[in-house]
Amino acid sequence: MTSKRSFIDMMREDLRRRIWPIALALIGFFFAFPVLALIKLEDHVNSLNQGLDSLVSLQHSFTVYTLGPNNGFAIAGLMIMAVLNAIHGMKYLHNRQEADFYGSIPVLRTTKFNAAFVNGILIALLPYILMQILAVMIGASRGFITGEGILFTVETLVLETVGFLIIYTVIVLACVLTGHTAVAVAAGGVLSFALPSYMVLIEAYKSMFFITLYEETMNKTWYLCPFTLFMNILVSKTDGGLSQTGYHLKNVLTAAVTLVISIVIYLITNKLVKIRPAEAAGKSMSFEKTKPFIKVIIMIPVAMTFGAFFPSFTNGSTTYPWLVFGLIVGIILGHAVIEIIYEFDFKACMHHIPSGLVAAVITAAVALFFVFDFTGYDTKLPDRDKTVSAAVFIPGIENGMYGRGYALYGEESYYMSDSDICMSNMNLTDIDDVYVLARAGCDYAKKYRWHGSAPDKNIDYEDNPGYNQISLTLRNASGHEYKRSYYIDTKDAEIFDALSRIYSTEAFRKNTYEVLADTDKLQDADVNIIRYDSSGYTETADSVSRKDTKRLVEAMTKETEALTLDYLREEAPIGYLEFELKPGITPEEDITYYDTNRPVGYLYPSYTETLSILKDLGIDVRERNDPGNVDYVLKLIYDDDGNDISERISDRAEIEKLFPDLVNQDYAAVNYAVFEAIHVPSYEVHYKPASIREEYEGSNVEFCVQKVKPEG
Amino acid sequence: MIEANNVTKRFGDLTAVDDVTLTIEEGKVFGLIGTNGAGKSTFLRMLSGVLTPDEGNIDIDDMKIFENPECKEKFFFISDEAYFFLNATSDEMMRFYSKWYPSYDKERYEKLMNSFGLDRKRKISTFSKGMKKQLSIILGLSAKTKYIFCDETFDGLDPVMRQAVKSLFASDMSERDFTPIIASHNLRELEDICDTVGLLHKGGMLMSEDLDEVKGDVHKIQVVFPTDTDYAPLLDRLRVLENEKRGSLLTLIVRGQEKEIKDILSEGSPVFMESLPLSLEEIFITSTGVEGYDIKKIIY
Repeated sequence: MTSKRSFIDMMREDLRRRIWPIALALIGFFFAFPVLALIKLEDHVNSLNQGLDSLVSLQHSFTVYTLGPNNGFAIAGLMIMAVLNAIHGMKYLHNRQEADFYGSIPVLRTTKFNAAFVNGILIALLPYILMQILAVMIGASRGFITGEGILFTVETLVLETVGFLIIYTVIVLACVLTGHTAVAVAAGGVLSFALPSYMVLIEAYKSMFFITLYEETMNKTWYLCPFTLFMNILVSKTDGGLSQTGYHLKNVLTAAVTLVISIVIYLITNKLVKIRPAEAAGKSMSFEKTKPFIKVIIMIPVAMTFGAFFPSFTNGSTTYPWLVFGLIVGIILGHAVIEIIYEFDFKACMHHIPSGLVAAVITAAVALFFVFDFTGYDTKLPDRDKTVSAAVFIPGIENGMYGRGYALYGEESYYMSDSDICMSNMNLTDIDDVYVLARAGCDYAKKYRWHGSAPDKNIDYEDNPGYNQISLTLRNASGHEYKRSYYIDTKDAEIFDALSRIYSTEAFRKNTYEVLADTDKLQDADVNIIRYDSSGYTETADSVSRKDTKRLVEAMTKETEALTLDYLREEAPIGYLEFELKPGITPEEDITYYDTNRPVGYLYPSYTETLSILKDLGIDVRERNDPGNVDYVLKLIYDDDGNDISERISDRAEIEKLFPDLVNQDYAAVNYAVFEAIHVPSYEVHYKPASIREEYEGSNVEFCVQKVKPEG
Repeated sequence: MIEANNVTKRFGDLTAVDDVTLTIEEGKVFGLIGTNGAGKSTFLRMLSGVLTPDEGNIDIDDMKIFENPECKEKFFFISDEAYFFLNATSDEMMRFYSKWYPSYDKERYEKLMNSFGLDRKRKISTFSKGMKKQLSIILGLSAKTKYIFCDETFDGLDPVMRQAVKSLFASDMSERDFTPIIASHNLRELEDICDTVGLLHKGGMLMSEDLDEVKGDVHKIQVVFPTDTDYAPLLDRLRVLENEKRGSLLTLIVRGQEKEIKDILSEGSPVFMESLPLSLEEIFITSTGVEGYDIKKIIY
């Protein structure tokens, strides 16, 4: 009998034994595709008939949400089938009778394994494709399917197949490494989530023990877990019309690498099947010699998880005792549970102590590494001479200008915070000033590393009144990035001077001010509405011409470029500007972009030209900021018993004197790194009703604080 | 021919088969005897290519067994707990086996199923333990392999069925090149079928003997002497292995040539003298007793 014939025969025989997974796949994907398609179809036809949506828009929606990556039911179904088929197909390895049966007949072990392996893929994918075709036919019956839609569906199918394969091969590997189905499930969990767990633990320990840790919001661990990898491969460009819908090159490359990894895992598994002892059936692990290694690999993160768990309930003063307690508990529990699973015997919980001790020693060494900061994470800086560029993110400058992260969301497969974008993109070449900040940050970290009984990450502002947190990136020639967050005293003259020089650079400004970062796009934007906001009070200008938009952006760009750090110490913004863009129309299709709001930036009193243009466009920004519009000011004071003893200031002269020193309490925080304000007492500025547009009548109160004039 | 040389198999700290060397000749029924845990199943699983020896090697017709389909086509393994597919019928199992064994005889399968009165369309899960054993044997014999390995296969068969299976084995052996290897913990089960027997104990092979050779050298003789005869000097001249007296009936197990033994005993003018066939148990007593083993503790 040829091996090919033998393989096909074994596939047929294996399929006969796997009727229920086939039925499950057919039923599951029947609901995920044809039934969902019928539901969507009815909905779309109604929308079309009532004129709520265009045909093109509905074609896009049907393709993306029923056939494409946004059909969550189908993706969940594929994930479930990957796990189920792997375990069901490989369960013959876990049963002694079956192992004897297949081991004694004239068939190579790999023939049986490969037949079960391939069937596991076909059992999921063939019903999937069949039901997807039915859904396509349902959509096509009412014209919701286009050629582009089918192409996108096929692209999705290819990427989903890759995602399926990585989960499937990992679980198959877990099945081959173990001799019992329940242990295989647990091993599948370990293989799938161990690496991300390790990464999360490392970050947690850094967070516990390193004061200068820069915590990136970007999730870097998704590619270490087959399930999140599957989901991330499928993040697509689904905004805009079908012609713009597709997958980023990055996804395709990730999928290609994932496919290669899946093939490598398959080849390893295939080799393991050849050497896997048949007597492993019914035992916990297939390869006795791997037991101590796997035990140590699992025990370390378990112990470290417990080590991090107990201190998380403390206020920081008792971190070390609870860390030690958690590590000991984790080591003992981890050791006992793994030994019990290994031998399926509770009494075996204290067997094989030496490997447990090895895990304990390694865990202690790792914990000590963090506690004593052996590498100088908090206190050492990269060699100045090897640093070629840097980035500085100061949350206390132009704070609250969120939007760039969201704006980039469509281009990247993950959300990036403003700080992440700034830390990655800013390219300062004058490094000396950055090192002034970094050294000051290290000095602070040295001082507070052994503050109390644990590193103190929470700054005491009463002891350190001028301190602010900044984040910076130092890059060497090979592109390696050193990222830290430091507390620095921005009132210190040397630091302020360094900050001022950094602030004045184009690189810093372009990564701090939206209007400078995206000048060209904002100048050419097709604006529907210009929105001026002052702490909830909004004025708008409609139907703005492109020429006016350009004029406005040019003025704001020029006046933003003229800002200095000294000026920001003295003045707070008086408002905030945002564009509402006209719905983006693609040439071929009338599909609207999902997000039309575009932040432009804060407006300062020095923006006379910008404010003048806004006034020309019908936005009377001065109406609110003119002391003549103030009816009275309430100085909010409470006695020790909490009784309201506020003072009403109605005298015009007093108002004229006080008003220039009052700033909106929200805007007082925009540049909190350099701008100082007295928050107690605060003030309520009551404007005259006539000064407020009719529709905003009643909300003519502004909550303010008094600014502090900088020394010198 | 099957040859096992210094075969050892360990499961963790337990040595299941310990340095076994054994040759199984073709065309003879080989019985592998031993108590539970003696290593019979482990030895047969190694013989079937399910397990690999930790030390030593086993060859079947000069071929390696493990991962060698060509070699595996030569034998059929009936495990002590035979595996049948979930919800499968006998026909489905037959169809499966027929794909892997090139000489599979479907007609013989049908004929045997009818002879044994087993329903081919009935789910095997509804069969009794004995019926499953019968089915395993039918499926195995229909494969027409050169060797069949039976692990405790006769356990659970009623005496009639046991006899029928033995007849089938005898018939196959007379018609074709066929060698059954039968493992059992029950001596009497194998008594009238085995040509050669190997005795496993605690993983080691105590003995492996051709029963005809043993029978040629050891004899069981019952004799009655006149009451006034002093037969003790006669017995002293014989190599008596066992001597039992019940009333006037003396039962002797004696090593030596039958004629010589009878001639010596005839000198006592016995009123009755008869040769009886040796049971397997008696053969083991004779073979292992000299080596200091208490066979009754080993086998029962």
